[in-house]
Amino acid sequence: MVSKKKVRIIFNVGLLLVSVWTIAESYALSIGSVNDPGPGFLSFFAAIFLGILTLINLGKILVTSANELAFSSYKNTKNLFYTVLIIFFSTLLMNRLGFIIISALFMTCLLRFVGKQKWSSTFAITGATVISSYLIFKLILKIQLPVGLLGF
Amino acid sequence: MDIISNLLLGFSIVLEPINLLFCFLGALFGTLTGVLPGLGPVGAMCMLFPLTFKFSPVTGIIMLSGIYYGAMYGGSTTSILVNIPGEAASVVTCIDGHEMAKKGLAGTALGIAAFGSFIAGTFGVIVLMLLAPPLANFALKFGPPEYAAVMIAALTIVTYLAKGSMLNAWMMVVFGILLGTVGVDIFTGLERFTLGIPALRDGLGMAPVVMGIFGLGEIFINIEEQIGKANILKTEIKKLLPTLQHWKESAWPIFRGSILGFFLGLIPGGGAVIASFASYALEKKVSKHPEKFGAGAIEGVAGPESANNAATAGAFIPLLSLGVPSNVVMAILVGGLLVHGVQPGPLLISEHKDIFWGVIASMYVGNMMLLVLNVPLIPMWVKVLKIPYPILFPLIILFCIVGVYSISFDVAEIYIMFIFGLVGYLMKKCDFEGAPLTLAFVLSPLMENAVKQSLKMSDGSFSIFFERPISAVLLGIAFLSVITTILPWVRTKVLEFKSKTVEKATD
Repeated sequence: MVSKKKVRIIFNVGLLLVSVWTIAESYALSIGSVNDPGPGFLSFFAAIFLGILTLINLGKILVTSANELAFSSYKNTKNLFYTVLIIFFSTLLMNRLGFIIISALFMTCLLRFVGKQKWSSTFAITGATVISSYLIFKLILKIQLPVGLLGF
Repeated sequence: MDIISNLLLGFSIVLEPINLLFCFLGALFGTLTGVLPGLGPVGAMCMLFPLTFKFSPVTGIIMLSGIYYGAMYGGSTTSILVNIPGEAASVVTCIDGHEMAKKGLAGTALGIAAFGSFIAGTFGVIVLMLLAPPLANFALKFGPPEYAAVMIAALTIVTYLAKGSMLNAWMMVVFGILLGTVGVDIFTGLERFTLGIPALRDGLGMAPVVMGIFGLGEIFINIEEQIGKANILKTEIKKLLPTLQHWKESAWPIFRGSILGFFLGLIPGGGAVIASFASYALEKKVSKHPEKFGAGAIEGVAGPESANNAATAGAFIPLLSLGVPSNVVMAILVGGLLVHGVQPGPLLISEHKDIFWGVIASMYVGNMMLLVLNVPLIPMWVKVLKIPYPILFPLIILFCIVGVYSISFDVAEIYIMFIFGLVGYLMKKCDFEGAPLTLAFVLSPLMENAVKQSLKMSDGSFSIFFERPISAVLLGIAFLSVITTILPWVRTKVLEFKSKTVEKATD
């Protein structure tokens, strides 16, 4: 299992990379001068500040030794991983398959594989959700949902 | 007289069937989100945020406000019956509320929470109505340096009041400022940090960012930590109306909670959570029987529940008079106004009387609705609490996806929400708070404009911020809040160093 310390280091390194990239981009955009600030003025100084704070925080994390684990259990982390994958692929296929198919697949996968519901309740909840959300969003609120394969 | 005629205008607006309906729906949905653990007012407001595009700005803001104060009402139900706070501001209600429920006084606890919320909510609205217009008039004197100073002070106070490490809070503020700079620069027309993605040309949308961090991020944490089945207290809920003795015990806590809550709601980053904790601490301090606290003292329910509701009204003042949101919920309201082309700020009260007075009147009506609704609906909320989380979370994610997609009908917005969901999840894992980031993200474009304009006005001299009295005072407050946090830390370090040196010397 990964320790909380490791996750903190990864997150802080990520922030450090963001700050370095922003400094470079802001410089390329032009910082301007104090009496005529350029488009990169605020972001340049904010990114330097973020970089300094992140370095201090990284130092603090490295000095303190925490043995705490970052994730509750392997099983629950697997559930989270499945959820992330389901959201990602649903978004990817949203325009191609359309709202009705995607929302049905999305609900079925999450209820069955992450929520561990019985097939009967999975289908019942999925059906009720897809129909009611289509009625509310598409027909009542007239929100333009992706049409996809079904054509409506 | 002006106030009365304006208030009548507000009532004429809120009593229109469409506004009345959405005031009711907002309050009801807010109560539901307050009842359900793991879904706070921020997530709920984001979910329904795109709906507001379909209506007039006043209807949209009435609905969003209803969600906010509705959630404050609803949070107490879960705290009292399940000992799990429905939302953060109800954490403290668990302590005595649940103890009262265990003694068979669940009905009394729920009743006093509802009545206290109503009284404090109404008190807050009255003070808001009286204070906001003169404050807005005063704010008309503000120029770019004053606005820059207000925003700097707001962000500094947010970090000062952060729950965890101040360093973490500052990192999130700066990260939020950077996120706010994404998109086309209005001064030069140049694209900044867009990575060539068309969806980023107009900047990162507030809804996907907030929904990602507070909605998806929270859900990811809940899935990973797997919320256990709620252990709902099997007690008969009777006698919802408090007795005369209960009223005697609760009257002063409600009064103190209302005043304290309202003023803490004004402070950036303060809001309902701090108000409820402060009220609990105050009640314990002034009580003749502090030992009763933690064992089912009614004052421990009445005070905090009143304080968190009064704070919701207080939080509206900086937004409606200065245009500066004091917390994440207010930041969403800023988004709701901007979508309709309404600029929050001192001119809002004079130029958009219908919005200001409509919202004020809706709060009176909404508070009344909540009192009438909540007491008889408690058995229904108990049933809602029994819905297992594995069924609830796919529904919440689906609504978030539809909500974000309907803003610009672009799948890229869903990806942005998804990415910020992961960021929010990691932030929670690493003990970073979302509120400083979100506030800074919303204030960043405004602050950038104010700072640039100020520097152009002064020909590059930073002294403009200190020469003008209002901005000097505000920056002084910001400076003090930083110093008061750093000094104790430095003192501890010096003492630690001294004791180590003494130890070494004695060795």
